[in-house]
Amino acid sequence: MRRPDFSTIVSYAYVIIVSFIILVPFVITFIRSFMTPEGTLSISNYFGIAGVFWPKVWLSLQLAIYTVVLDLVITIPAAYALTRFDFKGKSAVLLTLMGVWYVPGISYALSLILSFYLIYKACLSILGFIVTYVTGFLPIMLLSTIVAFRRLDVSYEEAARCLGASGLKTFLHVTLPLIGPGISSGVILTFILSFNEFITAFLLAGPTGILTAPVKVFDDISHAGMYGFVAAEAAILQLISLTVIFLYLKIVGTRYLKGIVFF
Amino acid sequence: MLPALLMALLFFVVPFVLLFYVSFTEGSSYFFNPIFTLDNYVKAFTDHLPDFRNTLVLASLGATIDVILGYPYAYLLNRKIRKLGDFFRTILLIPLLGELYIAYGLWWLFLPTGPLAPILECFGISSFALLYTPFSAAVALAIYTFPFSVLQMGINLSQIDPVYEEAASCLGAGRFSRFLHVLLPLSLPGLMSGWFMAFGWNIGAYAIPALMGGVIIGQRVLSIQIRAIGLLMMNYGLAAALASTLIMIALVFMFASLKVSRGTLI
Repeated sequence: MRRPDFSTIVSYAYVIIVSFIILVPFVITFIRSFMTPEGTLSISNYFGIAGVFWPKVWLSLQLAIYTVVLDLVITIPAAYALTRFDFKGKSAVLLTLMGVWYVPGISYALSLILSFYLIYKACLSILGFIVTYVTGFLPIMLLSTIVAFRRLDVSYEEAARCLGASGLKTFLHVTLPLIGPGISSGVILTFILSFNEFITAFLLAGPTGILTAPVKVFDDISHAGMYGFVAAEAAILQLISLTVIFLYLKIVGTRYLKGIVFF
Repeated sequence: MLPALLMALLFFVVPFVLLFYVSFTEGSSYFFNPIFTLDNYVKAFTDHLPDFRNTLVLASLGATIDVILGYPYAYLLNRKIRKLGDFFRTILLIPLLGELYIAYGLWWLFLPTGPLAPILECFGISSFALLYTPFSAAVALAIYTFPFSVLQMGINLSQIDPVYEEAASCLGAGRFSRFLHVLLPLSLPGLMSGWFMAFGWNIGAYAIPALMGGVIIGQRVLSIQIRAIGLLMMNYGLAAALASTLIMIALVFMFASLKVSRGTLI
């Protein structure tokens, strides 16, 4: 076996240390969630979580699932059109679809609240959360769908068309099954981001009176930050997200994340 | 394509235009009969200039830490680390869980009764010197935006052929001059775009400044002020003016980032 040279050891040491620094806030929340005020370890904090927390977790999960499904439904045709056809004003369309990703969350949330008060009055309910998340996370889903379509060779579709399949049939039976794994990266990222979305949900909580799980955690931090049950709440939300990421990596692996969040 | 475009038009473009429009009206007069005024912007650039300064200083501190720590990270993942490379990349996914958890975790870590205090006392630093200072907020912001800047720098570095460095090495350049005269000029666009991207995300953060001292008078940042002025004091005109200015700043930096790097979205 070849002995690793000095520079390799230093490289690994550096990467491990920096990774550790990134993980510190998350790890420390987990440790804190098992600590009692006396400094001993126990799971009593988890029993201290108020019953109102669980419906909010369920609500956040539902919102995340709605967001993923609706985003998939609306971005697949858009990504198909953007990758397969050339048309006038393509970059303007792309800018309209992607622009929201570059707008600071606080400004986006304020603009939505103003529009909900003045134009879309029906959105001062759970519907408001859904449209906010669907529009806000459209760019990340669109990006991964576009990458998936670009990687798919056009010749499959051409072959189906040559064999007499109609446009819709080709799309349903050839294109869609082939890009399936590729768009999974968009599904996972949209799920994680919308489940944990904080700032827009925090601002919408006022006018709508609906609290999602992350907003509830923030509320508890500001009112009772020193208590262990808050750490337990935060740890549960992190655990759900990490489980989803872990399962995704176990089943699909990292290859479809390349070009989107990996380099 | 139509449904997606419709969503983006209805819930991004229309509210955006509305926000801009409201920013020229006085107080919350827009809801009754709008009184048009430029006063909001005058106030934004006079009374709220310290908030802008605080926001920009914090965001650039965070972005600078990101670039300093992230550049070697991106380089090593590209060139040196073969085994476990995907494991380290996966770790970069974790800050995507959001600023809230980062803020909460570090808040407890930096508390005078927290776990870091005894270690700091050993070095003679007071345990009260950390929390609610720009330093703690900048560290939290740096962790939050680390993946974004590493991604920009990593994409750029992966496009640079290692042949250039090998050629320089063959011609007798040492480690340091290879870095200074070959790698750094070639990867400068990635470095800049990483900084811009981190900066653009940092100025919109809310939970981190809220828990790390951004609420204290004199250290307030824009995101806190926008919520306080708009939703608590009901001065929607001024809040909209601040929010519009924040959007403009973010857009300038994000597009600068994309312009220099021609990289991916986030």
